[in-house]
Amino acid sequence: MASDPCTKCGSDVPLSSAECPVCSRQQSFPNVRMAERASEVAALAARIQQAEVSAAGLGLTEILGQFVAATGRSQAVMNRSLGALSGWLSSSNPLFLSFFRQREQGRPPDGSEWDEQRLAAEAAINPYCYTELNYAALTLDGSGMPYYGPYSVVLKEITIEDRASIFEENPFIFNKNHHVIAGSTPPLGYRTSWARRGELCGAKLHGKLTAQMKAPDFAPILMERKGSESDCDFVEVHIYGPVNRVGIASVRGVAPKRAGDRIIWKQAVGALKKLGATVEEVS
Amino acid sequence: MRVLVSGQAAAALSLEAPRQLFFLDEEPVAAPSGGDAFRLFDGCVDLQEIDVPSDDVATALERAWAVDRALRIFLFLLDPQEPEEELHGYAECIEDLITTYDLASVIVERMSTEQFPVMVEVKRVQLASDKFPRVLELFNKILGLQGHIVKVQNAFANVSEAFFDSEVDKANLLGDLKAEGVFSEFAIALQQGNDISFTKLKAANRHLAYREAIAQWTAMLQSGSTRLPRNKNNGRDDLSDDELAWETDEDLQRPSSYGAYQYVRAEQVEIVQLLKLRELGAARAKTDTLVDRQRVNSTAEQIAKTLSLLAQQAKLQDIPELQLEWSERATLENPADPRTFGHFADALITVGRLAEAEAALDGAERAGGRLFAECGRARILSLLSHYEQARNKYLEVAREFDDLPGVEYAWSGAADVLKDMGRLDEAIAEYQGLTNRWPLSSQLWNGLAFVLIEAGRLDEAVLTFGKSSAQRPNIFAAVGRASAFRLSGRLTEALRLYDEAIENYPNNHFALCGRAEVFRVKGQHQLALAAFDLAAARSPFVAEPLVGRAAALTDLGSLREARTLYESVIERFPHDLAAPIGLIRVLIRMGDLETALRKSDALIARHPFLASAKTLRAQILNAQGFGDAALVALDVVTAHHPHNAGVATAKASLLISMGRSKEAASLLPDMRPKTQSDWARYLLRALVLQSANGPGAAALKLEWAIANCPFFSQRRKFRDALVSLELNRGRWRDARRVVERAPTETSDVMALHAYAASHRSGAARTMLEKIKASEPSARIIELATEIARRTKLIDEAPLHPNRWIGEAERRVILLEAA
Repeated sequence: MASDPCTKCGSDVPLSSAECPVCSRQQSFPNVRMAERASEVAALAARIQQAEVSAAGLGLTEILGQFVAATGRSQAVMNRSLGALSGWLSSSNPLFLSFFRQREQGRPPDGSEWDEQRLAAEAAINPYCYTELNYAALTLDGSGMPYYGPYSVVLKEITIEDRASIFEENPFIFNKNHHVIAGSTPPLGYRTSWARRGELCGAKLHGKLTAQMKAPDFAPILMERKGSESDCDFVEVHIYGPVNRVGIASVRGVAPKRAGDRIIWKQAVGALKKLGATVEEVS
Repeated sequence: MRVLVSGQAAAALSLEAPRQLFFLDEEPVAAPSGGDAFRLFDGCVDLQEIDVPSDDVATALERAWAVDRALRIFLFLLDPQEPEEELHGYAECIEDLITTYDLASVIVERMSTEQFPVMVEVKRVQLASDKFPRVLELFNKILGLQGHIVKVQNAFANVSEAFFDSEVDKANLLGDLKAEGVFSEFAIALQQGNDISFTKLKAANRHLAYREAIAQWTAMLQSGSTRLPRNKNNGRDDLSDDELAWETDEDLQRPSSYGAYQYVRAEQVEIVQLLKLRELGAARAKTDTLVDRQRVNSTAEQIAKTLSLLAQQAKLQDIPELQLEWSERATLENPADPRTFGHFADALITVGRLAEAEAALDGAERAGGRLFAECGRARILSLLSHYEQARNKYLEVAREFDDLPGVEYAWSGAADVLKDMGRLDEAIAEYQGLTNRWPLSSQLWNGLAFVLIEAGRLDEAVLTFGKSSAQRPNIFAAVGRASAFRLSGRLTEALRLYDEAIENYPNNHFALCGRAEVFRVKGQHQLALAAFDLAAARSPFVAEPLVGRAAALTDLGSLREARTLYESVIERFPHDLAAPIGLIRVLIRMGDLETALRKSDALIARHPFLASAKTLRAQILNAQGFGDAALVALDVVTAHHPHNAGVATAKASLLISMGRSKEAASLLPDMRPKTQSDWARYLLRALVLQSANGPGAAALKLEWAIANCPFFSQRRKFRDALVSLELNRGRWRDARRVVERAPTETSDVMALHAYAASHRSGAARTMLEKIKASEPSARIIELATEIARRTKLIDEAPLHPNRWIGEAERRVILLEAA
């Protein structure tokens, strides 16, 4: 099993573990350690260098710098349906659990073939910790991917920065594009830590920058929405462990039309305000 | 079309090509291939896979949405944190949803799987729903289900873990049962007093792998406190007019008293029903209300009688906490009535608070009830094993008040002490005299029957319990009869009788423990553990369920756990005798003979008439190598307890181990075995036969016993003896076949020897590891290791001569047989 050295005693710590088996020193989160491995860092550095060379050739060095800086301040957004948001806010359990943890707790139906399809894709990218991960996307404008639900939930940076890693794109698309199949190792250079998210965004999206672009133009570059179509492009955030509702910074969503939904939304707004989150209702 | 649908997500996904996503109020869109689409449902707990015609997907989605929203808003309505001004709107919306989509039954079903998640302010909800009749009806219906939901939940929680691979496995089954509506059907059926058999059958057929778990779950619902009587009038039938007609004729002749009497009687019946259901809070509240109302037109004496009567009912239902509470209140209501103090003292004795009981008995005496008081004091002396003093006190008071009603209890107390002293023939004779004098007293017939059980005269005991029931059906006769059947190996009949007893007395610990004991003697250890746990949950103030659990753990070989449990029982119930006896047995099995000896000496010092403790002490001495001292000790016990079968068996075992088989044979009458003691003697007779007539004759006897003995632990001993016998005559494969026919009915060390001798080295090594891991006594370790050496399982030279193993095995078999 892959491992890296303990930050204290230097013993091998399996990537599946968050604690040194020898000295018990807490290590960084498995997904973050995976992203911070020297081989990943080096491969990403090579991609960045390539991007900088291209940008220099196109006279976009400054724009690329601005884009990297802007996306380096981007936020994590999770999109949810109204029902799922309401469940999260009103449940006795304040935690939003990962899909697999939720399945362990009896989320029906369980163990079906369609669950396995999901497992195959996510496990290929994070083989040591996929069961613990929650997924979000990077955003510059507080809006997320409506395909996953009409309510965009932005998370407080302080609650995720140590345990989040950044991945190039939706793994289902990534695996297809990079021919990642069961048993094969995903290519290097497509993941990084939260702190270096701007670099990965620059490496990925430099080709979409133009000389005329200003800061507000960066948001749709970072997250390319195509209505509710599933092939929207975004940079994915992998968050290790459950997400507490206290970590919600803001929610943006449409005012529902149906009476039943209006009550749910109103109640959710009340709960969010109690949590200190901001709410923006869009038409 | 197979579709995943979630009302919470307000989305559906077709699982067949062409894959499409359906959102509420939108046109379907193409879904991506792979698993990405499934992320849409993250955080949703209502996901279902359903089959619907392709043009009905939108309708199914709409309905799923309505169910989710109605449930969600219903929960808001219940939540006391929600602003009051919003509740009306919630109720209106729910009314609209359940009317439009006809959701009432679905909501009841879904809300029947969990208790209300918050403390509900009932009045607030009812007020908010006042103008919405469907919502109000729904709320009231679900409110009424809460107690039954708890019962169904608790019963499932009590289902043995042994039926499941893991906790998750158990939780998954529960999730499935809830999703399939089984859980709610049970809760609703219990509320309505309906039969649950059909739902049980459906569930068992759907989850074949968990059939036994479901059977255990439903058994707890059927035979336990969670089930209403089959006939709703049963409760009324249970209480005779004698029990309920507590008012005197004079009282009833007073104007308006008859109406009050009728009211009180009806309320008492209701309270007894609540006791059966172990709805202690409700029973307490109803009793409070009844007493408050009685204050308007009844005397303090009548109120005290009500409380005393209910305390007696609580006693019959094995709920000592209410027995104690109500009997104490009765003494406060009417301190002039000696019977109230008598009942209070009885309650205190039941829970082992003997010093306080003495004080209550003083109160009874001050109120003029010397008969009550002296009988109570004699009972305490008996509990403390001061048998001579107890008997003298009973006899004195019986003679003093021989012409008073109720004096038969003093006489029966005196006879019972004889039983406790082991003077069974005298006890039987005294009881027979008493039943001649008071032939209508069911209690005296029961007393006689219990002595007959003790004397091993089980058929007579069954008949005598029948005579008791003929006077008045009662729980003691019912359970006693079941116990007689159990002891005589008629386990199916015993189980049926226990279940019947539990039907009417769901908290009776004798019945619950007896039922568990049936599982235990059948070798169904996990069922036994679960049944003892159920008994402990329903009768938390008595030692028997815990002692039973510890015995079951001992059977399972979990000796450390059993020891810990016994020690905690001894600390909590210092007057219980079964726990220290059990602890000594465990210590012997663990090989800690010194501690066992110290404990048995201490126990005998406190309870000099305890034959079982003295017998165990002799066994310990024998195990320590002091065979002669053990024989002397057993002779002393025999002198005091000439009819005690256990002592005779122990002595016979000791004599055989000393090579004095002929003397042993005289202690082992040749009779068709029935009880466990009979079967133990049968084993010893086989061993005597082996010495006299050779192994062939003994083997035939053992094979017959294996085929016919209903008791698991005895069968195991027969199988061990047969394995040892076959090994000794060099028939290794035959020995192994005996093991393989029933591996769980053979002890590990005998299985090790059979496997090793018949060249099944892998199985033998596994068994050797298992033996070492179970931390048995040094004697067993030594035997196992020598077998391993001799059969070259381990690379060590044997330390003993060749015949040593056979002799050591025989010693172990003899020790266990005793």
